[in-house]
Order: sequence, then structure tokens, then C-alpha cells
Amino acid sequence: MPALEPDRPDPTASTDGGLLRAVAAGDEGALSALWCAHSAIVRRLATDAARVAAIDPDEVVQMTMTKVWRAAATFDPDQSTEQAFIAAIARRVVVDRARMTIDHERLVGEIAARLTRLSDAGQTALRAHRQRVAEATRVSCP
Amino acid sequence: MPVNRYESSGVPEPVQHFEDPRLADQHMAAGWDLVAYADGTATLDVQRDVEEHLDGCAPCTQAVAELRSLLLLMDLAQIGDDTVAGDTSHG
Repeated sequence: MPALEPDRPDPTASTDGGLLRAVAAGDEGALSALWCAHSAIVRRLATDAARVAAIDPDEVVQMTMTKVWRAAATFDPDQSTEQAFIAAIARRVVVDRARMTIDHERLVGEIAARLTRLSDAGQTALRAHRQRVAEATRVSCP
Repeated sequence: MPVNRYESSGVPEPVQHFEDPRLADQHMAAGWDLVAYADGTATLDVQRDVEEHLDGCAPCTQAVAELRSLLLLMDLAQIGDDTVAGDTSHG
């Protein structure tokens, strides 16, 4: 068996999105593998929201998994990675579930605390982002 | 002598991932915007590059997780404002 098959797609390119396509095709093993790889992101977002709204994180995680399963067929590997696709669905589900029961006072405190505790890498990223936005939106009139 | 703003607030000082500021610059040298990535607005190429980098970089993985949480909470704050304005301004 040749080590390199010219017609074969680049394995690094074909790996991402493969699980979602398999899920869309009804592969239950793929759903399990997909979930093991990405559920930590979903659980974290659900737990974060549960600190400021009356929601059950387990329920939100379960709902997200169902949505991912249903939306798998709509995944476009030319638009996003698997992880970004799942994170976006998780965010929508969390926001949708939390919106009616937000404790605003607690939310403001939570945001302030998160900003204070931001790691060095997080602070660097935020600073770089602000700089990028400032540069992109800088205009000068004659 | 640098001011430790965490000391007075009682919040534990975060682990210093980037003792050398140049190291921090290296992580951003490719021009990635981790905020845009965490927000889901980065291009596919950036998403792929960032995820490849996150595989071997604990500080950036933590940063993305923190930013993702922060952006979610800010989303919730935004929605709260809209709801309040919508409920009270046209009664």
C-alpha cells in the first residue's frame, strides 16, 4: 500500500467536519465521539449562564446536543469548523433558555469579576482586539 | 515596581503565562483575533489556525474559554436591556 495516495484528500483537512457529516448520516458512534470532543465547551457556557439565570445546566447541555444532532446536516465545512459550529449552537440555546430569568445585578457582578480575573493571555487578546477595532474604525475627514 | 491590583481586592493573582511580553506578542503574531474566534465571527482560515494552535497552547485555550464565557454574559446583558426597554417604554 503506497504511503501517499495523490487522489486522497488531505487528512488534516478532511478530519474536521467529518464527525458532523457522519452524524448527519445517522452514525451514532460519531455523535458520541463528537460529543466527547466538544461537550466541555457547551457545559461551561451552560454553567456560566446558570450563575446569572434560573436555568438547569444539564437541561441546556441536553438541548444543545439535540440541536447539534438535528442541525448536523446543515453543517458547511467551507463556513466553519466543527468546534465553532457547536459553540455557536450552544450559545444560541443558552441565551434562548436564560433570557427570561436573568438576574441583572448578578450578571453585572459576574461580568466585572470575569474581567478582573482574566488571564494574561485573555487580557492580551482583549487588548489586541480593541486595538484592531480602533484601527479598523479610525477615519479622518479632510 | 508594578502595582498588583489583585492583592487589595482579595482576588487571587492569575498565573503569569507570559512573563516575557514578547512571548505574548508571538501568540498574536499571526494576526489572530481570539475575541473574534471566541465570538464566532472569525474566518474559516483563522478558525482552523487558532484551533491548531490551541491544541498545544494552554494559555490561549484558557483565554478562548474565558472570552467565550465573557461574550455569552455580555450577550445576556444586551438582551436584558432590550427586554426592559421594550417592556417599559411603550406601555
